[in-house]
Amino acid sequence: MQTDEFTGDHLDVLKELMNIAMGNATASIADLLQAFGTMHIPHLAITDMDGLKNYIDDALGSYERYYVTKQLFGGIIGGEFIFVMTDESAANLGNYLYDVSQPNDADIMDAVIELTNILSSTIISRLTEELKTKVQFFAPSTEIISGNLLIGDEETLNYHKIIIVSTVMEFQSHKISGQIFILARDETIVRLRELIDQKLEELYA
Amino acid sequence: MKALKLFYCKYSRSLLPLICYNIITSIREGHNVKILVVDDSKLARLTLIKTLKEYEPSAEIYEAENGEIAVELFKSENPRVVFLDLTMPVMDGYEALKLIMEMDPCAQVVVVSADIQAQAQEQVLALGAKLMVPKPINSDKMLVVLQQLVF
Repeated sequence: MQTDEFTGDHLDVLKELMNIAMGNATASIADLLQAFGTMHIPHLAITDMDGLKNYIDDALGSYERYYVTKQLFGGIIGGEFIFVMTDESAANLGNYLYDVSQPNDADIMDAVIELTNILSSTIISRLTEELKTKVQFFAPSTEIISGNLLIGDEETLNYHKIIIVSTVMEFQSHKISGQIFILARDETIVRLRELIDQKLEELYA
Repeated sequence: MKALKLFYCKYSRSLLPLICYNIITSIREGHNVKILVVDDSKLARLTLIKTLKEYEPSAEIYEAENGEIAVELFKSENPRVVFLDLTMPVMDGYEALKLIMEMDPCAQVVVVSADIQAQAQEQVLALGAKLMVPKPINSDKMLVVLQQLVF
């Protein structure tokens, strides 16, 4: 077996750890929004750059304008956390957090960044805690783009083989939802596999 | 020595001929209690079963990977305890819990979920779950759970 190969067990572990991490993040956002969030089953895929573009096209559909926040993280494992909201969801978030009916663009952007910060730090921190490792976070950036431009040239250069972990954050009562993608770089796939193997060894010991 | 007692079930409003004992004691005395573990993740099931076996090595464990299979197994095996995840494909834990409680209002269902929202807990307790425990489960949490599964 190649060192970067993932078995069904590896994927199952990663999916379950993501589920636990997402549960923590949903609870934090539920406190912020004072609403109940519906949890969704995380999806995992291992692919190349073309596969990533197809995956994101399928996941996002044909909606025109998205607020996209990207945050890099690094350490034993590294990658990129991407949170995508439609402009309608983002406006609803800005509306709720700023308690105004017509939030301006700066308010919406600020609200999206705040939400993403909570999501990324909670999810990645919990994921790495379960894998008994640590990561550093870099400053996030948000921009408004169309779905098919989500993956830029920078990502194309940085990623070859990619693990995509994706799920949905959904607060129906506030009409706020978003898609979460975590992209893991080539060397991270090997490290992740080693960390998951350690976890499985402990379990079977 | 265990005492045979008639157990009054407040939901069915009838006296049921249940043996009254707590699960830990019954295992220590050599009874194989049937326990159903429901989770779509193999890791989650393995983790739960491993911690469960620390306290109840001879328990007869049944596994289900979604709510639909869980309901069928509950119907056929009538387990004493069900450990139930919420976020699952095919049939989620909320629906499975509702069906299980309809089949047996005295069923002991312990929800083990990553969803740690207060409203999720309120919802499952309202549906009839006995307890809700946040994932991942460990030995300490399992002991607390088992100590509360007393008839």
